[in-house]
Amino acid sequence: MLFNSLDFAVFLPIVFVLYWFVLNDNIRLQNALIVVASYFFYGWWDWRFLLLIFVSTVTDFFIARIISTQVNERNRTLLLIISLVLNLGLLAFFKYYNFFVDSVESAFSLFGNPVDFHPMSIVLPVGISFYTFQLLSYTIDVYRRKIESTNDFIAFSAYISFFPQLVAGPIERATHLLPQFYHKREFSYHKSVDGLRQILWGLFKKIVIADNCATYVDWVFNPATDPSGSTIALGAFFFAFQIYCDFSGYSDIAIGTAKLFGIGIMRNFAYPYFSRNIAEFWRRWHISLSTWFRDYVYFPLGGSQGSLSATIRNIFIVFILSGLWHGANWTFVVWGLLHAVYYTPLLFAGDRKFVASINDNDVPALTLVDLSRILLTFTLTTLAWIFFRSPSLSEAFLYIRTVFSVSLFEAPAAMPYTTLVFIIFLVAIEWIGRKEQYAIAGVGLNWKRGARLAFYYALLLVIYIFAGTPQEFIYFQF
Amino acid sequence: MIRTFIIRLTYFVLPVLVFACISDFILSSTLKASKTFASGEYSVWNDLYEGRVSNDIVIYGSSRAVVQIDPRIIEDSLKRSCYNLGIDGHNFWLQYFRHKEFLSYNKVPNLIIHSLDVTTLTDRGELFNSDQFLPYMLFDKTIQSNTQDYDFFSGWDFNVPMVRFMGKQRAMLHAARLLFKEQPDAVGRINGYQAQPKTWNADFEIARKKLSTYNIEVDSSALSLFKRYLRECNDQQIRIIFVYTPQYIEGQQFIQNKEYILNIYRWLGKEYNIPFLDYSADPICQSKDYFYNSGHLNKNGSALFTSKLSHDLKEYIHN
Repeated sequence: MLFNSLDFAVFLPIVFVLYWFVLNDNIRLQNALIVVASYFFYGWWDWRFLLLIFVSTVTDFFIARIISTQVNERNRTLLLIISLVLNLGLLAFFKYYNFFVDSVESAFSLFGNPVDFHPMSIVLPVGISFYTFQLLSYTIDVYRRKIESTNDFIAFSAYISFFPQLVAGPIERATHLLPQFYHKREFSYHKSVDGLRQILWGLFKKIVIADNCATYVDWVFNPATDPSGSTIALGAFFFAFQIYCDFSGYSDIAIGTAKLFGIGIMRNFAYPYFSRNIAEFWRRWHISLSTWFRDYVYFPLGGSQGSLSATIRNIFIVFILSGLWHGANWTFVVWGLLHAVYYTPLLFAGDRKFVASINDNDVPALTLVDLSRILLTFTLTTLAWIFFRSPSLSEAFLYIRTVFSVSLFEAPAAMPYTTLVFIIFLVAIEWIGRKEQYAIAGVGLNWKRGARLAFYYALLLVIYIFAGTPQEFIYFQF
Repeated sequence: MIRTFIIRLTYFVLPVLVFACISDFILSSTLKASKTFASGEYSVWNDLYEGRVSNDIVIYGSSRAVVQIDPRIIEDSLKRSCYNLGIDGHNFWLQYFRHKEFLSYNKVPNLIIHSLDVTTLTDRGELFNSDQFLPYMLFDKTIQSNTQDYDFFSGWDFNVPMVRFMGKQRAMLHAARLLFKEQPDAVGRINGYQAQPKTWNADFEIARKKLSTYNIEVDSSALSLFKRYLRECNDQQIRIIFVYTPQYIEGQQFIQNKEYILNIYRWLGKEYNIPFLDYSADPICQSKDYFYNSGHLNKNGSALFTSKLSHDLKEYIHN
């Protein structure tokens, strides 16, 4: 079920009413409702993969319980390895099997020994990368004794399958989300209104900006288009906003929806295109993933505690893995590599805190220095998006070559002016609200009720009139 | 607290719903009056739903019927009333839907001139020119059941006011202009016919660069439906004449299995005792002057062709 569908607009109030009016007195029944609703939400897309989530949930629930009862470290480690193998094995099979087979075939062909491993027709279950990482975070944290394993299977199932963030994150941590299912939730009027406001803003980003950008971007990156350098550059610019608004729009809707149920889920974006360098970009972009890699890959590798060369190595490993997490294609690997390359000069300059926490008051200022740094960072990330968006490496390099040709100075083949106006609007609103959790969190709070309502109605009207062709959320495929 | 939340939310949503119902009514009724939006199909649907297509002769087919057969020339020549019910961009699936709707709201005709082309019996494809259904489709189960297999509209589009207009800026802008009496100057359909006063354009050369020759796949379900239609017409004593309208000669060479498809029509003609007038080798097909692209005659070409057709039809009309 898509957040930007009327199916969800009907589903959500039904679950909301049952949750607060029918089952309000019983926390276990509330959790059970969340599980049932989440499975229904997921099954709406493809019910066959419900079994996969269920099996993974049961497996990790019991493995974690056994880990917590073991005192022998070897046994604990063995159990953790079993969990890792099972979870990552499923992910590898569904997501990377064909990529692995293709890559091995290409490698053999390169050395003159062609082989045929027969790729399989595998449907990638929506959100598998997200819930797998969420499962892993729980088991690893139990292993590290950061949290107690839970005895409450329903609460654990709710933690894994919580529908607002099941298919595209934010990737929650057991330490943060799971305890919320142990305690009675209190309805908060202000939090719920805030949730609705965040949902509205998420819908605007997704439906008006991302979906309209998609039409142009799909045209530019269609092999039949043969675009000029300027058209590709413009396509990459629009893709930068498409993917940002698509994904952060999804996160806003997810966080807003969770607020309606009295549950807080972590922030996932913090105005990443206002970043003044790549390190800051990764503190602001897909925060739940970058902190996951920080905590479960970067730190165990030694983080920045070792020599400079070891830190550089760790950064490269994390970014390559991050690229691979996004998709089974060499384009994502190169995208990750590029970010590692962008990051390296900062390490030499002494900025060795990978994905440090964001300080909401540490925002860029309207100065020439900050603006030029923002522009440079945005240009670098946009250039990397070309790899992310291209279907293959050869096409990506062709696009890059074309961008750096004289055709960069030709007029672009087409210009979606209306979408551009909305992007400018978005950037302006985000700039004004850059100290808030989301851009319109503070808009109208001090206005008269009528003016505030007029703003919401106007936003609804804009969403209605300027809706782009409906698209699935990009991150569903990851 | 939660009750306050629900009450306030209801107060917020209620005006939206009322506004949606009123806007839907205004938008739909305004759009219906458009002569040009959705390729001018509204005037045909209006005539059809308001029972104004009670003609002796009706013409069926795709755009190759719409722009190539002028019913006024047939009327003048045969002294029988005539209406062109061709539907732009659609093969037999939607032609049949229009046929059923036509029979539901209008007098049964004496004769159907069915313009066939190579795509008539192909699968559904996409719901081309879906905007043509916008003003009529709210709560309409017939349109819903006949378009659902295209997987274009959702159930919400048919059952909730204004949902189907979401993001349709052109439709909203067009309706706003009509509301302020700004009907565009363009000539709309005349008895369903759309004259095309154009000269040869670059479509064919562009297509030739992009495409090589291709095969048309006949869809067995479409063929079954077509046979059912022929039987139903026979039962209702409606005569049918098949016509293969002119197509620019070089365009015909693009389709590898054109003869195979024509043979299906010939076979159906024999099987159901239906005459088949084939103009695929007519001299008109040799000259670009009569076409604006390889599949469509321009205004002069269609006048010349309809005159020929009228002449040839006399033999069947008077028998």
